[in-house]
Amino acid sequence: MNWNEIFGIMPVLWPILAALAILVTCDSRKHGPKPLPPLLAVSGMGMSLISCWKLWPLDKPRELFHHAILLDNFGLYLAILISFCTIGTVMISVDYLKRREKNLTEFYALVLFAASGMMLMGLSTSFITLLFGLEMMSIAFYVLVGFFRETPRSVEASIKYFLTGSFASGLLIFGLAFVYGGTSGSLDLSGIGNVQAGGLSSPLLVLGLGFVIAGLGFKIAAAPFHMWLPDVYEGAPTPVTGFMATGVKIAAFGVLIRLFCQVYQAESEALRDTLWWIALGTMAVGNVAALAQESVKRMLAYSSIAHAGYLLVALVVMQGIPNETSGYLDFRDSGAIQGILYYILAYGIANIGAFGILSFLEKENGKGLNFDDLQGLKVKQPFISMALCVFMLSLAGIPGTAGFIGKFGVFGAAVEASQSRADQSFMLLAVLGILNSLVGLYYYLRVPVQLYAKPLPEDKKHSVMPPRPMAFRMVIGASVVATLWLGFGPEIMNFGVEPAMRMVQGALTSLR
Amino acid sequence: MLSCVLFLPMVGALALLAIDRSKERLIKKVAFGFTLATFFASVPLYFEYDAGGALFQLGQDCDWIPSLGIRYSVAVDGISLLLALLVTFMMPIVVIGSVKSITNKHRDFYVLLLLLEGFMLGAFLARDLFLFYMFWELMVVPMYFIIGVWGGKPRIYAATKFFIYTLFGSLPMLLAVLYLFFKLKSQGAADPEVEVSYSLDALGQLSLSLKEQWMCFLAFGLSFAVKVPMFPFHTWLPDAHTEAPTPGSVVLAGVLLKMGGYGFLRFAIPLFPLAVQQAAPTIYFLAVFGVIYAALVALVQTDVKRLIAYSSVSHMGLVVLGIFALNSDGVRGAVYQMLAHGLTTGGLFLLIGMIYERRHTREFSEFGGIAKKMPVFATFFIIVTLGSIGMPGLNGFVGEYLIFFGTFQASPVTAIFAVTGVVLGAWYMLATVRKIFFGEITVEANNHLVDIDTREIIVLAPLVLMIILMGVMPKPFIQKLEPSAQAIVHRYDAAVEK
Repeated sequence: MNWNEIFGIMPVLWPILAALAILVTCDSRKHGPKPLPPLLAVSGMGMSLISCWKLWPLDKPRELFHHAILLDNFGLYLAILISFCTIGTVMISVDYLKRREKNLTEFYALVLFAASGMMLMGLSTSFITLLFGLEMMSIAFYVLVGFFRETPRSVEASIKYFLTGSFASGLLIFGLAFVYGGTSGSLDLSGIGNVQAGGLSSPLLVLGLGFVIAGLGFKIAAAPFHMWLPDVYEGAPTPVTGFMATGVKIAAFGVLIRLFCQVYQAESEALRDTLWWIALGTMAVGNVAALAQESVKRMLAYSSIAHAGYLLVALVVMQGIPNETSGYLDFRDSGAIQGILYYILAYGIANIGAFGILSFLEKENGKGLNFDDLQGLKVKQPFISMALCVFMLSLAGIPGTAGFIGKFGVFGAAVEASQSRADQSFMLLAVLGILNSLVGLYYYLRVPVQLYAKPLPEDKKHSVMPPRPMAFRMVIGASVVATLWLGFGPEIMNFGVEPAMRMVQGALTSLR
Repeated sequence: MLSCVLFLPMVGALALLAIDRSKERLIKKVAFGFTLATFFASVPLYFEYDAGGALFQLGQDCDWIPSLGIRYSVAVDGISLLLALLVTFMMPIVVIGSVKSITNKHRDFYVLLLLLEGFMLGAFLARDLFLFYMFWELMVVPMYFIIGVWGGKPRIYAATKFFIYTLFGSLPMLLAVLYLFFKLKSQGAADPEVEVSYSLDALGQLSLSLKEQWMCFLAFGLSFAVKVPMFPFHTWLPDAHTEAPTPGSVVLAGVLLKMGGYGFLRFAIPLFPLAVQQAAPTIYFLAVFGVIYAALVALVQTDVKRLIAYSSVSHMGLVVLGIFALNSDGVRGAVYQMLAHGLTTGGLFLLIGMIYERRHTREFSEFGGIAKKMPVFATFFIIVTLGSIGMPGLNGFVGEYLIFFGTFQASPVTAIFAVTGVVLGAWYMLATVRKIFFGEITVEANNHLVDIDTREIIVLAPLVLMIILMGVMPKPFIQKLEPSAQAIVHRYDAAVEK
């Protein structure tokens, strides 16, 4: 261990340090305002961002702590996204917890632990680190989901998440064990790539990969592993839901991309086909179920399943180019990865904003928000209505918003792959995906309809809206600006996406 | 210069956002000022465009998203020039016309209207397929809100139907755009000479197999057919038109529908000539069927606005006929008819809006004999109606004449059938005039009608002037669009003969 290695993982360490500082210095039992914990949390994440910025961009991937951590631009990119999501979540939670009279300092510590777990997932290619990060994230979320332990819904959600989540972790570990056997003793993702590139597809490896995909599928709520999601998202405190919808997905897709860069070294049709069906099922289930929802939060929950489906489309169609010198497939120019990296950013911004607004509008008793409750809100809250409308349009993928560029990238990758492989099934998936996003349009549109087209109900004309705290306004304002900016000038993102793509595959021995 | 015209309305929208929402008069003035300024900025384009020169002129081209090969590229040929002028000409009229009919949330309305103008101009001027697609889809958003917020009773149904229909059309187009681009990219990988971008020129060089052309044509054609709207994709239109507030209907009928015809001319025909050749008979059939069907449906309407909506479907069917006649006359006629239809139908919706503001109904049974009470109004109405049914000397005649001329060369039988649509058109439009204006006053409320005031005359006068001008002096317009129309036809002929 040397200082360079320590500097290398500072992005992950800062949240932990901040969390520990919160736990040590702040006392939950004390009444009255507690400005310190959120401040510490934000500054911890800020420091994490600064250390990412100091490292960015690396000219080549670095392995730290004896292959435990792979520090590359890809991981750093994910870490930066996660940091922003965490900061947004923390800033929104301040007001939310105060209104729900549950202003406990542990909340922030848990959020930070989860954040650092996510970052660790993004920076790992070693199974052990991967599991470590995953569990750190998951355990923090089990607690966060059930944070309102007086409300039955929250507790129910927590138990549901805990049971399914630990089952998923079990599957993942089981799968990794198989993979370990199948790759004759490699604890690193690159082992899979080396075996696959050798052309030997051992049944043990395939079985193990199946379990791994199932385990990670639980985390991203891909069909048929999505059953837990709506209830958990609905029961969890709303800022936590927003954090789960963004952070967990970003981290899990980071791992999935790295995994499939290795898996696709050999033409593993079986896995690709399986994933094809999973992607289709996920899109369809999410979109169709979201149509029928009356609660906005539940609609967003199902829509997040649908979005995972779109991202899976890109994963299905990922294409590598054979590298002349090493003989391995090179994924560094893959349009699919570029698409995913844009997409998770656009999706993350819109969801942090949307869930932020939901947590602000939520009724005092914590009852979820129905579409009807949004009626005519424009009169009372023009700024919030506009922002929510922008987020919905972005999630629906209307041009001019970041979501469109993401959609463009993902489906563009599918079209490109179907041409370069002359594979009609990819084109079919793209067509089905586009049709799905048409379905999605309908339920996203319900929000602007309620906000703008319906009149304000009589009994609400004189109700007083709670004041909008500064932190909340900052988060929403920044999200709106970012959504529109990335929609009109997505080039700005390339300073992030390009270097990240260049290093996505650093783990392959020969490409180092 | 072009970019200036294109972005002026959007700047105006931002400027409006800076004004306090309670200052209604100021908001209206600023909105009017910006639309008028856009119009004056766009008039010089007409004179700068040299019909004898290069096909596309006054262009601007720069990198926008280089990593994805997307460029900001705008230029005009004769067709887009005239259609863009139609937009800038209509918008100030729409703004003054909406002063009375929009009664609440003024600022939001004018912001959306200005954005809509900018997006429509963008779609007409774009030379880059991505840019075009972006404006094409963006356009739907302000229109959706205009219908959904300021519309009539079942407005939410109408707005949602409009949105879903249009996007159902345009999402497959997105895939087709991507398909073309990546096709070009794979050719570019083999041959470094090929410029990989979304620009229409680059994509036009692609050699596509017949099957590919068919797939892409279906995707593009669906989205244009919905917008035109072509039978059987027209059902969103009567709802959207009827429920939209007057200014919304005017923009929708006057300009937005032209986007479909323009799309066929600019994208579908040059890019997929072989598929077009094979599809033309089917499209012919659908278009003629639509012309007659919509005219028959219009005959039995009791709501004036709905009647005019169906007449739009019928007239736009003629435009499609002209386009797919695929000869110079047909194409010229189609473009001319688009311009004429924009003016006349826009005018009709404005007129209906004026009477609706007075009586709050649009049922035929509520009117009758009001020419006695509103002579000026009746005069305007009749001129516009005659323009719409293609009376010689007014603008509709020139377009229809050229269309039939072109269609007859391509397929005489179709032309014969299509003419019945025009006859029916004269029937229901003249019946409308008779039922509203002549006869005895049967409803008491009509005795107290007041004729139109100066503001309303100012709204209608430029329209009527243009309707007459385009009828008696079509040359300045035909002249500008002739080379462009011929270029499209030549290109198509060359591709088909190969």
